[in-house]
Amino acid sequence: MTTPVQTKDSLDQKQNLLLQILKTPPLMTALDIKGWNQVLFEAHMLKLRARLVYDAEVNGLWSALPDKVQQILTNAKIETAARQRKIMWEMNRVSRALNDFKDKVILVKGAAYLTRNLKCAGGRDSVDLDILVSRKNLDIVENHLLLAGYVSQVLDDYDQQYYREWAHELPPLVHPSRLVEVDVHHTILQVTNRLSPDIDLMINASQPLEGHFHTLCDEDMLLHSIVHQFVDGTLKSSLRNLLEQHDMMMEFGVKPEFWTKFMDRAEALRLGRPVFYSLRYCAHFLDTPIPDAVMVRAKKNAPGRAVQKLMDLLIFRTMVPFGAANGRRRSKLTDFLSTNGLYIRSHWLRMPPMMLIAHLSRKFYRRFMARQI
Amino acid sequence: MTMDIFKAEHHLAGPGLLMGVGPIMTRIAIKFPSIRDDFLHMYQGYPFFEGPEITDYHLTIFAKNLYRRYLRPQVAINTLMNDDFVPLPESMGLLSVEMGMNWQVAFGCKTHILFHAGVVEKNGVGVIIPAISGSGKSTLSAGLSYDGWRFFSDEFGMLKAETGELYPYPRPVSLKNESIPVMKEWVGSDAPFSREYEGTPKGTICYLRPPIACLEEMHKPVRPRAVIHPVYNPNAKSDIKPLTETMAFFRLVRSSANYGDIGAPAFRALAKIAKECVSCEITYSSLEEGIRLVNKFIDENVA
Repeated sequence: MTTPVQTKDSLDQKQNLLLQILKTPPLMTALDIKGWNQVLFEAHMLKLRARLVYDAEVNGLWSALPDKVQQILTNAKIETAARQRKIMWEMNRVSRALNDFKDKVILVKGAAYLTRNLKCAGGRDSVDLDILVSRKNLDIVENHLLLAGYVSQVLDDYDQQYYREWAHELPPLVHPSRLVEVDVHHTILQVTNRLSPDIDLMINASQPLEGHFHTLCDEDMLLHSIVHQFVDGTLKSSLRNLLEQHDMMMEFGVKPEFWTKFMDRAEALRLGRPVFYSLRYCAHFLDTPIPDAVMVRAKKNAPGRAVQKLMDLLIFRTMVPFGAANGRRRSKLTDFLSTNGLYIRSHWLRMPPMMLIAHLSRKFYRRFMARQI
Repeated sequence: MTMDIFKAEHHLAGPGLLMGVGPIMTRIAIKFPSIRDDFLHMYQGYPFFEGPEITDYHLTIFAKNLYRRYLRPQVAINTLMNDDFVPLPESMGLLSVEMGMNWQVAFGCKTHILFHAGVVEKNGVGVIIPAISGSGKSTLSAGLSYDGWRFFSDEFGMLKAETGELYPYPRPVSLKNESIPVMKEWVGSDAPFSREYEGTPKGTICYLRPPIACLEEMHKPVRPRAVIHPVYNPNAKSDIKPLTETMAFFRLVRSSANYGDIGAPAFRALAKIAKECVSCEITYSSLEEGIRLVNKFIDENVA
């Protein structure tokens, strides 16, 4: 039995207004001016304002919101709609550039949610277009895109080499007349990451869409989001990622066989630990209804008590990272340590220690030199 | 709405002063006393709020550390909106406040179609004066506003796509270099001007507060009736060149900062302006000439 989440912060976080509204949108209509200022501020910092619009509209609450709130949220609504439109158009352009390429091109993250019209695409701010292709096709796909006018954004030799040897993606490509970044991945985690799963399993299970593209199957799509947040991400301001997982669990979870398939998949790809974290924190922050049997199964991959306590502390500090809760000011120092602790953690998982030291010293040296100039 | 200046300074120094200009409510905190003085002088007569009000933007003008606060003072700007400003010396302080507020509106505002343009109004006739920096639109809009026109903005034309109306956003006018003495002479008093900030990236900058009557009517929109593209050229002969509907449309698109984000409603609104408004380009060699041409064009073409 794992201990339930119990820290001083966890209680504060439970009462965070933004979280409460994300869980229960009708609470929006009861907010006073101070409440709105807090919610709007946090939603802005966490890139969730457009999500509030989506929740308000889906729940028929929009017209009941104060005029000023409608005005402020409309900015976010229009901006996010524009970004989504840009991503859709970029997909169209990539599809055209890859017209002669016949193997699988898999949309991942925002583009996949948008084309599949999933709930988690509602009000989601996507900036880049991410696609996944088999590693053997990487050069071919890159050449097609370069021929179509895309330009590599990384010119530095060390960075180019870093990307090509160790990263899970090509250096970002951008078409100069549209300026949307296209990231071509060949796997979902850094090659050197010790949790890097067998990507061929995911590519083989992907599902065709209409037209040129595929998406990952439901289970893998959720796994990818989890891996992105709990293995690779810095976890800073990542409430929106957790929300994305929550949405998928709710949407996919209505199919009776989903949870069993999902847990089988997580174990086959050796991603039990990050899945445990996702389920634990979704249930804690967003009250995601996860079947008991699934939770019991996930706990087999829980870390030891000490590690879990530490992870809880770090996550609670960073998940809703702003301002005072219950009138108590939070310590800037612990917030700083949490964010940076998680940053170090993500790097620790990303590469073996000696390589990490070499990489970070090089980065540090370069930043230091840049300052001197 | 009118607030005691000591109280306003207290808010500015502390959690922030709430100021409403047109449709935008900003909370401004300034950690430098000298910049607070400049700010309060410039924004005399603007509506400050005791609060709480639902706030569009938060702007903080601060020093990164004690060294940058006291020993070699340097001003940093936090707009909470992906800004990356080069810190300015404390002596240019008010510039950072203006830059910060401009940034927030330029990148944050999508409820209104934004034109990089001056806007003025007289007798219910709204005039959009779009132009790139250096073409004299700030000077021309300010000149008109001290000559019987109501000032909306010298920098941000704000049009609501649904109603087709222009909304005032009457922030201080930013004057550069040679236009500073010209405007001082035109206004005839030093009172509404800021100090002159010398040695900025754009040369000498001086701010001018719009006439108080414009501030009192900052929530009163107007329908656009004319679009006038100014071209300042000290050696040129005065000229008014009418624009076709098509040219008028494309030049409006080019002057709009968020046309692409707003999409279809912006397309329809701009097409409507191009169709229903009279549009021209004026070439002028002095402020007086510019104002004469604007008045002449409006008198002859807008009933």
